[in-house]
Amino acid sequence: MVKPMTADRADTPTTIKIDHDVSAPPDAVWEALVTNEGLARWMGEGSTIDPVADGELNVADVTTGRPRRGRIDEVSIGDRLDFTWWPHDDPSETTQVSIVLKPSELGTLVTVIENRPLSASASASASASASASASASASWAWRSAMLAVASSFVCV
Amino acid sequence: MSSEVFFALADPTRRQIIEILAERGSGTATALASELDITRQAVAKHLALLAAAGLASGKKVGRETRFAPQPEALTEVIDWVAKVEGEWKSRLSQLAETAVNNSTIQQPPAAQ
Repeated sequence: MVKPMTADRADTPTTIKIDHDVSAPPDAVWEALVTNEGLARWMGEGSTIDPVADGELNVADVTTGRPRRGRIDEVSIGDRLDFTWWPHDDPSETTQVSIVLKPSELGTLVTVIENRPLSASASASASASASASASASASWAWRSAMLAVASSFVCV
Repeated sequence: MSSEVFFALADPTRRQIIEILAERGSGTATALASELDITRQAVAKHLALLAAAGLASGKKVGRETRFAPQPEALTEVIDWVAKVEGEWKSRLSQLAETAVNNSTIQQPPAAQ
């Protein structure tokens, strides 16, 4: 089912996509994503996850030092985890994240797609969908156009 | 962080308007309407929204208002993208380390 919000999202310029090749098999990466022990090791002590749809997510997020809370949108065991999350101290910064695992020559290609929805209400109605990767490439094109716009003005 | 900028950029027609304004340097609702094949009224609404978000600014020239893009507002989006990318790069290297540890515990080298 395609929700109207999802269609909008496909054109949103505020979607980022990051690939990271990991020298471990997908099941080892998956374990680091969906077990409390695994999550705590890369997200910080005390991080917890209930890896089912509507399950709770709590991360210390040592990277930013701002603990985040979230809700699992969708789980495809072993290859995809979709969630919506926000910093405890500022729920207005709600974003949607998809973490996709694919076997690679090295081990696992981990792709993270993070999208900033139009509004907080959008995140409540739109779950991260299978069109997320398509939206990422669309926004890539737009992002480069945007950067070109910005840089053309620096020159003027 | 202004959600107005993100909202303004979420609409494909508004993005097209910004791109055209950036290419030409400026434009009027009438000129944009004929180029985009939508009504002048619709373009005027988009331009007002872009102006409210700080992405364009209007200046009266005779009877018409001429709009110029304001790239400073885009830096907010660019900064956000850079920040989020940086955060994920850091998280993913931690995740990789965790996964590598997981796999060495689970699968000791079979050759030895």
